[in-house]
Amino acid sequence: MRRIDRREFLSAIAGVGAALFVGGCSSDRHADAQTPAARSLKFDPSTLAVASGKEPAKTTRAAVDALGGMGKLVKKGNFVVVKPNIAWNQPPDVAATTNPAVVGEIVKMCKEAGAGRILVIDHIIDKPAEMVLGLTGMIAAGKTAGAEVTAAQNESDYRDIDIPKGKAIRSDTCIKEILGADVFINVPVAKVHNATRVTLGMKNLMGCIWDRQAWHANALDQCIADYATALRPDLTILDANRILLTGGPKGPGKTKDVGQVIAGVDPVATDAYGATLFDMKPEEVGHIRLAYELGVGEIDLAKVKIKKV
Amino acid sequence: MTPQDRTLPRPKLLRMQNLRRVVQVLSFAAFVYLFVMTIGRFDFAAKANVLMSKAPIDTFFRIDPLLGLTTMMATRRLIAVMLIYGLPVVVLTILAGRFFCGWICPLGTALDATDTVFFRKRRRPGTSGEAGSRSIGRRAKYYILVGVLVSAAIGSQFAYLMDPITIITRAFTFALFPVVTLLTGAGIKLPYVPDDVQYFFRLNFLAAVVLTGILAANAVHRRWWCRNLCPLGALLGLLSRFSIVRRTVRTDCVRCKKCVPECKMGAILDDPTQYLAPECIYCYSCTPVCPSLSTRIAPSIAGEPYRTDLDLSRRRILGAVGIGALVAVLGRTNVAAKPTRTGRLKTSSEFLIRPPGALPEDEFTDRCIRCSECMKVCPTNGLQPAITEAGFEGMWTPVLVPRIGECTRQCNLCSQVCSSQAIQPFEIAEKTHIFIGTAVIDRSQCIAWNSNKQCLVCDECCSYRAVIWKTVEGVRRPFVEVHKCVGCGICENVCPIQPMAAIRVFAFGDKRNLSRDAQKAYFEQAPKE
Repeated sequence: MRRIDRREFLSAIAGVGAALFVGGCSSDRHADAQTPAARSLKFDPSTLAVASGKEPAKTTRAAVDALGGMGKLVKKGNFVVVKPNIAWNQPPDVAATTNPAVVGEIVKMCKEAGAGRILVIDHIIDKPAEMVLGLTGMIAAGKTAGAEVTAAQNESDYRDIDIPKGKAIRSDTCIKEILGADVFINVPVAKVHNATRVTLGMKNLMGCIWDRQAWHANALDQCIADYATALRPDLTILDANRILLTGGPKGPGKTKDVGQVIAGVDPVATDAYGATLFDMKPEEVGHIRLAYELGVGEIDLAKVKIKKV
Repeated sequence: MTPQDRTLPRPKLLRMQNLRRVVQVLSFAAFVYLFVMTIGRFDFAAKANVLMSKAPIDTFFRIDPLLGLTTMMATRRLIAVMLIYGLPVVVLTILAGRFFCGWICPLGTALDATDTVFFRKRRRPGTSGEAGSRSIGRRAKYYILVGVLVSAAIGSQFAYLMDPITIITRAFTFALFPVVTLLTGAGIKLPYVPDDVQYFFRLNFLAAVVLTGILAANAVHRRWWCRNLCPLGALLGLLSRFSIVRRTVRTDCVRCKKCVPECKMGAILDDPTQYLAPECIYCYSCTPVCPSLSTRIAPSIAGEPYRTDLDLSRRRILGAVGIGALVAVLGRTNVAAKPTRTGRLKTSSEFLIRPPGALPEDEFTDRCIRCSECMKVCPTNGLQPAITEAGFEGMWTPVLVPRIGECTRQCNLCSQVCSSQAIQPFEIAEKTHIFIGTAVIDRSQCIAWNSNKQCLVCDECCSYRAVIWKTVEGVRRPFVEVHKCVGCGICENVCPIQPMAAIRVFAFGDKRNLSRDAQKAYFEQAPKE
């Protein structure tokens, strides 16, 4: 066997090192310029569909159909990411997490529209994440309907995104699957929130970032509004079948069965409608007002077409 | 002697030596399997975290008679699981000798494997014969055993310092397991490895160094640890004095002494027909090398030459008794978590937060065998080995470090894996009134108090509705309701203030000294919502 001398060995090491260094330089943690905010709108942004009913799954379908049906948004083979609120270790009846029947129905509609991979994902707060996915009923609902259900619990699951219009934050992180998705559907549950008054669609996007504590330490309402300028869901489906009135966001607390599902493209309009469910004026909720001021959407419900079914 | 009398050489595969190797591999595999299975999963039917496997994952701690003996001596209680599993090992050892070390012990197997891989060709002088078996080190393990037993009799559990099963398990938990979770963190999914927590344990280096040190000592002698230091080996050696399974050498022995360096324990004396019976671990290394096939290990009642003498010095035994007593008495002076006459808690450290279900401190440190299983199974990685929180006596015992991980609400896995039941069983529903500490808000640090920020992460995350907010000066600010705060530490874990959280859990809220009913009564004093 040929023996290599010290010089050869060192030069080989240097070569491999240089290759790794150059390779490392090229991997940019920033996502491509194509952030979801730039996606073209498939539904009429000024319409809000509000469906009422006793059965969450049927109500959800009615709301989406009132906008024009999932087939308009999801094309054959599309990669769909569904982002419910599964932050807490609570069973579905507490209304601290999105109703699994709503999520299941959305997955089913996407499947019917011909979607390829469907992923239900959230950044879960309570630990262990697997238990939360189970207790909230999300695994059972999502998997039966044909989606992958998982949690983004490692920093490596996130990519950086720029927030050029941000006032408090100029960049942050986002779950990498959301950035790579063809369709991104935000499925919040309507609850009160100790710090931000209510938690609806835009607040639910806080589950897309890695470091939540940073927002609390910064300026929470402004951060939520800033982030909404950069990450815009293709569709927001607000689960208001049962809303949490006290003890939010984690619960348990008093709940009210409203029996509504609201579907809309405009994140501010959807949240503005959601705030009225709690007898609040949209302007009273800091992050909704700030998002409106940043031009994310329309806060005045009089200027929004509300289609009740 | 007629030629028929001789044992015919067995086929190579069927030799006892190979059978022993197979058993060793199986036993080690079982050890690793049970270790890997020390993990919870969500059970849909029970709506709680349960162990992934129904197998008794603490089997190796239950069958370890040294741990059973010292724990029961120190706590002066019979512990059923340890008795049921440990007694068969004791009885078998009395009948068949110190087979445990050679066939079952996972550390012994690791030592043999290390020897084969790294030290096979190494010449190790002084390993055999009279000189080797008379070294002072050889007797050290008996002195260690005496010291450990004396301190247990006085009421302090120190077996954990030297027990082989706990040593190897701690190295696995504290050093090896976090390295494996590095892989899952990097996206390589492995079954039975949590992928949402990057595990880290304090004292991980110490655990690794102790194990690698023991393995590396093979460089001096084969199974140097087993020969010289292992108190479990000493205990089993004592028990094997009257064993009926013996090494016997026929009179046609040619005194070639080939068996002498083969003996893993250096137990064969200068006259190779003689050996030190308590040192023999029944590894069957001496039988196949015997050219005249005159060496056998078999049941025998004849008085073949063997020696059971330990040759211990009375002076040294007295020394061991003295040191054991001294250590135990020093341990007894620990103030850790003792209530004063007024009922206030006196604690050696304000950070001494025990897992829920833990016995009162004195009994806890006596029972805890430091096997580290509770820390392996903790889904948040919050349970960490104590360094100085509980004094020297409490080293390696579990403490909750909320900044690393909280005691999560729907979980009682630590109590499920505790073989000595230092962590008593409890139901998930009881967690509302098992008080392990109390959270305190540092208003000078809290941003809701000092700079009017909308934060309230502590209130948001609290699983017990113990952190509440009230509007003060027009700002929502957090308060702690002490009757509801059990000290789970999730608030401290999520508090955005660095480096020290503005809400921290301290041990003064620990109510282990009270009965569950008394703790429940305290919980019920909370104002109704």
